[in-house]
Amino acid sequence: MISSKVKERAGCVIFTVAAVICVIAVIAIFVFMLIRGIPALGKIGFFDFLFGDKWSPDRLDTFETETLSGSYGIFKMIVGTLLATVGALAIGGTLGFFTAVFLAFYCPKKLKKVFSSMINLLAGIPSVVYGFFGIVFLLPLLANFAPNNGSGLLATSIILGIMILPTVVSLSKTSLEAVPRTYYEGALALGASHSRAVFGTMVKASRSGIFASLVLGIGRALGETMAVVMVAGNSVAYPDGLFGSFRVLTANIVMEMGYAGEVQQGALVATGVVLLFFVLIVNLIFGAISKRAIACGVNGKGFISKAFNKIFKRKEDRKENKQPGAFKSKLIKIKNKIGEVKDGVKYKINSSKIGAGFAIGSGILSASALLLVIGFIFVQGAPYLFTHPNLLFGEYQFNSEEITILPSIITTLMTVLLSLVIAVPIGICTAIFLNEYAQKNNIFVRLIRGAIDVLSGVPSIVYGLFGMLTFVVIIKGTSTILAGSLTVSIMLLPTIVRSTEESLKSVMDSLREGSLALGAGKMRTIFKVVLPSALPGILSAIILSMGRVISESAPFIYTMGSVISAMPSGYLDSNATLAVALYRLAGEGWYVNEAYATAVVLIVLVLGLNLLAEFIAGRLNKRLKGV
Amino acid sequence: MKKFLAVLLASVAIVSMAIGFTACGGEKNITVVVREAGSGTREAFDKVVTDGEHYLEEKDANGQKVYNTTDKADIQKETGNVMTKVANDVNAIGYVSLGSVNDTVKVVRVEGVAPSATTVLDGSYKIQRPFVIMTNSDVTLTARASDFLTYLKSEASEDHADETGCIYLSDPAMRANVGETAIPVEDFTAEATLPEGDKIVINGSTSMEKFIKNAMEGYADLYGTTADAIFTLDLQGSSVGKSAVKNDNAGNVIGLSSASVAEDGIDSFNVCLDAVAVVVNNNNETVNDLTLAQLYDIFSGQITKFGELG
Repeated sequence: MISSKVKERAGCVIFTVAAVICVIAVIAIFVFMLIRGIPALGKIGFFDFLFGDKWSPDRLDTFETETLSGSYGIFKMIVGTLLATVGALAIGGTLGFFTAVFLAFYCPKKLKKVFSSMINLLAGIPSVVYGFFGIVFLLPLLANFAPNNGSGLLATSIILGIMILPTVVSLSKTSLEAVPRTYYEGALALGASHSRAVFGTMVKASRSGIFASLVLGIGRALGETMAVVMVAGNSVAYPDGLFGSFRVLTANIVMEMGYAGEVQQGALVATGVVLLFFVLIVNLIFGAISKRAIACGVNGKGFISKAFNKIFKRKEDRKENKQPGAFKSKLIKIKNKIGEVKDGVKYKINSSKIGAGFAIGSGILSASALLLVIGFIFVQGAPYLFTHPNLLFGEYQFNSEEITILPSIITTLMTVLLSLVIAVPIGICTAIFLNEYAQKNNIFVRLIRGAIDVLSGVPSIVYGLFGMLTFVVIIKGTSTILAGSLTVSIMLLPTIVRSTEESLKSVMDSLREGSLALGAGKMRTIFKVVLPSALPGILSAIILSMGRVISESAPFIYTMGSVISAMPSGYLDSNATLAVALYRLAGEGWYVNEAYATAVVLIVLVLGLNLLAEFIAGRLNKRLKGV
Repeated sequence: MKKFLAVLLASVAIVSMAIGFTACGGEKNITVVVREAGSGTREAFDKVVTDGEHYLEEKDANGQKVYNTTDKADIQKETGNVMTKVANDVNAIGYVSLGSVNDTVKVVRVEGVAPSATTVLDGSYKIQRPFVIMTNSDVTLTARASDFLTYLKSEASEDHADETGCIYLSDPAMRANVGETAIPVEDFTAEATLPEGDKIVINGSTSMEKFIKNAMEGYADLYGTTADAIFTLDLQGSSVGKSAVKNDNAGNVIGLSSASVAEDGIDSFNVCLDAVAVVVNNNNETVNDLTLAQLYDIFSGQITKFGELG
């Protein structure tokens, strides 16, 4: 009996410790970034750093130097980051919104599943592949009517736009589908056409959800690194026009870290801190909006019905309830007149039909974007893979023209393995703690949830910086696969915690109660009843994490190494993962065919894993419905 | 909202088309491809290229560093990326380490002088910089690392330099960094067996990749093994190499820097000189020889079309 009590106790402690680790990870990231960033900020001056528009670092500046000879102002890059984000939002946000409307209301049922999973696949494509696609397809295309080689603001906006598309689409679609069907029917009953009902009622009713999806898209665009570096031009300048070269904050870090002097390095870390704060703000806004959307959606009275009232009742209410004064009635008359004119115009242009057109057009455009990215790279790369099996299976030869990516594949697998071994137990234990042990509004619980939200928003290059400042220094002083794996395992935590928690939540309480009633302890219930029922969800989270490790590159460059070298003999060697190898090959112009082929391998791996995850999640749903 | 979006889309389309049409016709602008600030290659280039009054990198009256490179430049990390850009863009001009040049790009003469061993050593080719080998001065190197270091310091390096387009330095005075004592060429004889020690970690400048790979291979050949059995190679930039050397507590890190190093805690010597070659696209027939002043005008953005060179 005592032993079982001890067991219960130990379990509780382990789950709590796991949760604490998540919090510590967040604190550590902030602390280390600040420790390294603040001295540089102090040296440069806070305002000169944030609002100075001159970035001309001097490699020889140290903290002992009396007056710095370099200038370290990141204002141009802040502006560049914001412009790129706006551009991405204009393209990806618009397209994503209309695609979501298309998927929710216009798409034939048979096509819907295919379309949705295609859009989800877009999310799985590694960012280096997007960047590579930008270099080999988009830039040459734009160069036809650009004054330069096509790089700059427009190219960046397009690439980022495609990258945020899946985020915007999936979230908007969910919130559109969450609007009660009765609203749509009500609109029809009042005489609205299908398009009018969709745009007048459904879209308006779910606009906070749509807004939230755009905010999340902004977060993704802000943190993106490698794809932007490959197409932005990277000059420290305000972009003059659509083809002006400019630099974003993330690019600044990845560009200059390798050759940075002491103060410059501090300034780059401080750039990471600024980026972190940007993302935090975006996350806070997102949290506030989505909370409101959820709160309103649940009780059915709040925001959605208010919107509904606004559309159909407000005018009548006003007329009936208020006895306006002379001046006010005049105003109302004018207002009504404007309304009439507006209605007239609406009749002629029929904006909901235009909206419908946009929706259908966007749906097709989004799908073709995916087909274009994948198709183009496959057509160029797949044949080479078959004619040159050496690329995949060849033995590594030092200093040879014959490239093999086998060591990179092995390195990638080693990284996946180790990072999962670290992240999965911690992630699952944290989720168990949150779902099975924690009281809902405990401060500690809120702290953990906050920590996980923060972790999920941190840009991958910031993880890279953190890993470089901590794991690399502690372990060996130079980059190692171990340091890279540790870095990326922190990055995986939020995904694993969240999806595990979701699938734990979906396990019905009656199962737990039944088990407890039969005399099983809490631990036994968790391990024998709850976890097995939640297994498919957990599995698909693990598979998605594998995909994430494979497709990331920014966290690895300064922690794990970026040179394709011989087969790694252990975790203390340095090597390039597949994604990093693609970045290198795409950069070194004389290996273009190898780069295409590597991109094909990457896409196949990641998409395969995504499909597998979707399949497993699908099985979970079926099973739940079956129960 | 949807109308607003429609108008927005339409205006974006119109503006971009307008820009497109005005840009068409006439000679295209020069694509100026440069490296990121802090890169040794860029430093070597920027400190030499001048119009007689200003340099691309200089200090103003207040001692503040100023970069005069045009805002429109396409900044690329790593030597390979610069080569790619230039090789694929007929209007591009860039600069890379001479050792990295291959036949995908065309090398331009500077002030009538083509980069070569002779022109770099006698100083007539102006754009040059040292390749530096660094070790931690406070730690005892492993037998293997110190053996390889002696190898690099010996005449054996000459062949490797020759084979990879660098200019070997035999003059002890030139082998020392700024303000330090002369470093003579050491004698190297291979041991009977490979000396003990962990894998040697090579970390630093990407510009030195060809040279160091060649040297690693030559050294491994002496002991009848392969380079990847002896070394771990990781090149992310001179300063990463420098901090790896500083953090070295096992005595097995050898750092590479493509700009001179004068720092406490680091022993270093110049193994060879490298010319920074100015490169243009192979199909560029008009540009063969540029003066430093012309280079300054192009890289500072005062000349935006090759046709304006006259």
